[in-house]
Amino acid sequence: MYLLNDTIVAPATTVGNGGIAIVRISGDLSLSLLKLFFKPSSTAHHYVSHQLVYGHFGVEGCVVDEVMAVYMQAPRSFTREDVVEIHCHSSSFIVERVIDLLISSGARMAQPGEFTFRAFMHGRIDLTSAQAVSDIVSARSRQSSRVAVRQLEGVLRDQIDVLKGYLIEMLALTEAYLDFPEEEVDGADLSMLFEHSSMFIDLATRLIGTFQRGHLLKEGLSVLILGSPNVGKSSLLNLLLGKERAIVTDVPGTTRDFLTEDSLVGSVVVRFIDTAGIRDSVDLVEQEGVRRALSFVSRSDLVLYVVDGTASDQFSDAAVRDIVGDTPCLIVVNKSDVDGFDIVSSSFPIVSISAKTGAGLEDLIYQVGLMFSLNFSGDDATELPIITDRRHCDVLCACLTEVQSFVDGVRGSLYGEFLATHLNRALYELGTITGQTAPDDILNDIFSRFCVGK
Amino acid sequence: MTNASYGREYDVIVVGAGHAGCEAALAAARMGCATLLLNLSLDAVAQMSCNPAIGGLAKGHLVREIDALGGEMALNIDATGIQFRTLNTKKGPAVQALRAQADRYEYSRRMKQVLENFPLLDLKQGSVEKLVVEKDRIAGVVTRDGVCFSGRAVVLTTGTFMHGLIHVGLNHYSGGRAGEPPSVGLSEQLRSYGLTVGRLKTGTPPRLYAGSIDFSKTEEQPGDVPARPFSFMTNQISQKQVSCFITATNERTHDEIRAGLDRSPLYSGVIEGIGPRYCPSIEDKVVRFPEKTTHQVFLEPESLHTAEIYPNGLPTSLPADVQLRFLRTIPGLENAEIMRPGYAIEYDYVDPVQLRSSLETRAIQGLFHAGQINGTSGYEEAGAQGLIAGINAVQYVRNEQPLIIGRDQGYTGVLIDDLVSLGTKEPYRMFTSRAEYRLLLREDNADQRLTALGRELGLVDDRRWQLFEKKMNDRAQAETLLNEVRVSPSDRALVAGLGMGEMKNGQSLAELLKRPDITAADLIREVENLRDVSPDILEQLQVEIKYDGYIQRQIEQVAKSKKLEGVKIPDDFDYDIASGLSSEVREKLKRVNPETLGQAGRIPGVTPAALAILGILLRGRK
Repeated sequence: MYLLNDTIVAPATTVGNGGIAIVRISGDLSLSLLKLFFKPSSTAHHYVSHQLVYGHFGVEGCVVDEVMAVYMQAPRSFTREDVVEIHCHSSSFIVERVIDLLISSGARMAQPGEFTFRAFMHGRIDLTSAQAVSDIVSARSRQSSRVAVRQLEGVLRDQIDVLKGYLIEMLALTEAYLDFPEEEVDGADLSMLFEHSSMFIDLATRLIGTFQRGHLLKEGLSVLILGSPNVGKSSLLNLLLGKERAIVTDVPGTTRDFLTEDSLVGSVVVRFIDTAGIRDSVDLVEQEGVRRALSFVSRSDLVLYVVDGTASDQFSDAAVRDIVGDTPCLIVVNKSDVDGFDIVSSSFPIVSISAKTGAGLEDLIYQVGLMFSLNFSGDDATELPIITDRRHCDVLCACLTEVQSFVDGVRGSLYGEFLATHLNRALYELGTITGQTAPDDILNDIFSRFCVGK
Repeated sequence: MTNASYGREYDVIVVGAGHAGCEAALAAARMGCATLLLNLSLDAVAQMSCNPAIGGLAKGHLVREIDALGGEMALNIDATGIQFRTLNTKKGPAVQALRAQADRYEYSRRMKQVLENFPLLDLKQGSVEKLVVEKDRIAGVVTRDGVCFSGRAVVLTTGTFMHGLIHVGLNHYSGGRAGEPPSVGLSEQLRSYGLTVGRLKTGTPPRLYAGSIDFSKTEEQPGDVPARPFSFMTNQISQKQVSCFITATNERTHDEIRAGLDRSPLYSGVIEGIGPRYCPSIEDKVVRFPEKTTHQVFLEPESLHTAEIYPNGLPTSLPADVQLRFLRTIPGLENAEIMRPGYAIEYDYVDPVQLRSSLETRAIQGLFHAGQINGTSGYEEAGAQGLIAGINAVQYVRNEQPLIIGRDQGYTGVLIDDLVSLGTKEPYRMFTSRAEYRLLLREDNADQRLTALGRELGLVDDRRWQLFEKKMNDRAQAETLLNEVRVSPSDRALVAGLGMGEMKNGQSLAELLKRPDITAADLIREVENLRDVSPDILEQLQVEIKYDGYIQRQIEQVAKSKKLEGVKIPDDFDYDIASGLSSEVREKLKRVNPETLGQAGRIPGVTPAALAILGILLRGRK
C-alpha cells in the first residue's frame, strides 16, 4: 500500500497543455519545502492558508521560474494534509526542474492516484465512494504501468534483468556462505563478488548516463548563446533558426528579458536562448542583465560562446571557464568571412563560422552532436537502451549506491549479514520496476549452484 | 463399530508426541488446560527419526525462541546433549548459532518424564483414526481401539505418519518410521472437509556399528569447551561430552552409487513426493553435481549408551546392498556394518496456506496443525509450530485473541507467516536468509524478544521471570556505564592499553566501542568499572553499538511495515467486489485469504497499487 506519512509531489495538470502547470505537494514537509525554494516578491511575507502569493521559485542564483504559490493548511485541503500548489509555466523543462528540487529535499514522486488515495484515507472523500476511489487508483496505476511496461519492453527490460541477475548471484553467494557453515560452501568467492559488483556498477552507471541523453531527447537541448556585445550572437541565432530575427517570439510574461526559440535539429528539439537583449544594452541595468544571463548557464545543456574572430586577442579562456563552470561549452569563432579573422586558442572545442554567409554551420551542428554523443552515450560499440523515465533512473541510482556500499563493506571485511542488507535493498529497489524477488528465488539459486545439505 | 466415550472432557487434545506435539501439549497444560497427548506408541515420544542433533543456523534461533516462550526443547537438549558447538563464530552476530548432538535415547526419555510429571497432562497410547467434527467445529478424536476422547480443540502433529510409505531400493512398505506402523484414515477425512492434501518425501542415512569403524582414518571434531547451553535457565552442561568424526566420499563411492541408480526409487520414478532440496540424498548429490569429486560425511554418535553411528551427509534410498558397497569405499568405513539401512519415506501433508496465522485450519474450527503435516522439516521448526499451536488451541478454547509472532519478533513468526502466506510444495526448512529483519533476530536476544510474551501467557514461571528481570536490570546498568564512563586523553595508561595511540577529545566507552579496532574484550580488560559486568551482556551491547546504523535501518523498515500489519482483512471480505484488482491478483488473494494487508503484500504478485485498492475498500466497509 502507499505510505501515508511522507510528503509527495506530482504535476496536478497535464504538462504541455495550456499555459500554466500546477505542481502539487502534500504532506508534513509541504510548507517547509515551499519556504526553501520560493521567494515571495514581498519580503516580509507570512504564509496565510489559501492565499495565492507571487514570487520566484528556485535556488540562490538560479531562478527556475516566476510562479504563484498557495499553501493550504491541513485539514482544509484536498488530502486533508498540508498541501502546497505551485503554479508555474507549462513547460516540461520547468515542471521537471521544480519537481527535481522538491525531491532533492525530501519529497517523493507520488504514485498513480496517490493524492486521491490520501484524500480518501483521511476521510476527505465520503466512505461510500470507496469503490469509485479504488477504481480511480486502479485506472491510474494500470495506465502508468502500461506506460512503464512499454518503456520496459525489449532492450531496457533485458538490461534490467541482467542487473537483477548480478544481484541475485551476489546475494546467493553471500547467503550460501552464511546459511551453510558446515556444508562445503567455500567462503563467498571474493573475486567473483568483486567481478559481479563491478559489472553491475559499470552497467548501471552507463544506463543512468543514458537518462541524461534520453532526457535531452525528450525535453530537448537547451542551448544558451553568450558572448560580448556585437560579436554576432543574434546573427548566429537567425542562422541557426534559418529565419529572420523578426520571427523570433517573446516568451509570455513581461518580466522575461531573454528570447527563446525552439528548432528541430536532426531529431532533437533545440531550444536556443539568446541573451542578446540584455548584453547589447549599454545602460545602467547592464550589471543586472549580466547577472541574469549568467543565471541561465547552469540550467542550460550547452553554452555557445560566440567570439569575434577579428578581435581574437580579446578572448580569455579563463574568463569563459569562469562564466560557464561545469556546463558544456563550444566556442564559436564568428566572422570567418572577414579579413583579419583569426582562430582563438582554447581548452574548449572550437568551430569557426560565418554567421553572415552560413559557412561552418554544418560543422557547428556536427560538433554539438559530437559533444553530446561523446558525453552521454559512452562506449559507442554497445547499443544501450535509453532511459527516459525518471523513476527508472532514480531506482538505478539507489541500486548503485547500495552496491557501492556493498563493495566498500566487502573491502572493509564487514560481516556477511550486513553486506546482504545492501544487496537486498538494491534488489528491492529494482523490484519496484520489474516485480519483487522472493527470498525463495535466492534459495533456488543457492541450491542450483551449491551442493548443500548434509 | 461403536465408539466408547472415555468419559473425560479435555480442553486440548494433541495427536502425536513428536517434537511439535510435545511442545503443544506442554504449552496447553502449562497454561492451565486439561490436556491429552496421544501417541501411536509410548515408546516413541520425542523421537529423533533422523539426525540426532538440535540447532544449527536459524534452527538454533528457533530453539532459543521456544525457550524464551517457556517451551521445553532447549531445556531437554541441554540436559541430554553430548556435544555442543557454536557455528559461524568467524561470521557476524546475527548468523552465529548453536548446534548440539543429542543422546537420542536420553532426549526421548527425559521428554517423556517431563510430560508424565505434569499434573494437567495425560499421556496415552492411541492411534487416532478419526476426528469428531460437529458443524465444522472440532469436538474430539476416535482411536483405532474405538475409544472416543472429547476435546474442545485438537492439535494434529502427524509427522511422517499419514500414509507413510517407506522405500529401500525398489522395495517399499507402509510405515510411519522404520519399525512403526503408519496412520491411516486421517488424511482421507481431512480431504472430505475440503482440505488439499499433498505428498512429500524425506530420507535418512543408514546407521552404522561404531565397532566396525576405523576412526583413526577420520578427522576428530570435538565440541566447544566450555559447552554453551541453549536455555536461558541452564548454567552449564554437566553430562559427558563426546566428539564427532569427519570423513568424505570419493570417486569410487560415486561410481558405486551411479552403478546402483537403476534400483533407486528416486530415479526410477517410484517416489512421487517432493524431497527437500537442501537435504538431498547422496545419490542426488552425485547425479546433480558430477563435477564434485568428494562430499563430506560427519560421523555422529546417536547416544552414549549405544554403538549406533549416524553418518550425516549420506541419506539414501538405494538398495541395502548398494548402501553397503558405497559405504565401504569411504575412509574409515572399509569394514562398516550397517545396523539399520537408510530409507526414504513419503507422507501426506496438508498445504499450510489453508491455515490461519494461529495455525488453526480454516476448514474446521478448533483444529490446529503443526510440524511436518504443514510441510516443514526439522525438529526445531516442528517444535516452534507446536508451541504456537498449543498456545493458540488454549486461546481458542478460552475465546481469547490468538498469539501471532511478528516477522520482526522471531524466526517463529517468519516460519508461520511464510507457511500460511505462501504455502509450500517441498519440505520447508528455516534459513536465516528468509528473515528480512535478520539483524534484529539474533540468538543472543531471543529472551528479550519473547520472554515477556511468554510471561503474559502464563508460560514463563516466576523463577525464569526473576532471572530475566535481573538480566534486563544488569543490562540497563551496563548500558549506563558505557554511556557515562568517559575516557579522557589524559588517561594515558588506558589509552595506550586500548592501543589507540593519540586521542584528541574525551569519549564515552560507548563511543569508543563504535571504533572498529576496539572490542568489548578490550574494554573488559582495561576498564576497572566494567569488571563486574557479565561478558555476555557486554558482548550484546557491543553488537548493538557497533552495528547501530544497520540495526536502526531495519527498525525503520519494521516501523513502516507495521502500518500494513495493523490493517486487518475480515474473513468474509469479498475479493470479487474489488473490481480494481486484476483477476490474477484476486485469485492469489482468494487462495491465501490473508489476515492483514501486510500479509497480502507478501504474496508474490500483489503490488503496492493492489494493496492501496484493498486499503480503500477495507476502509469503505466501516
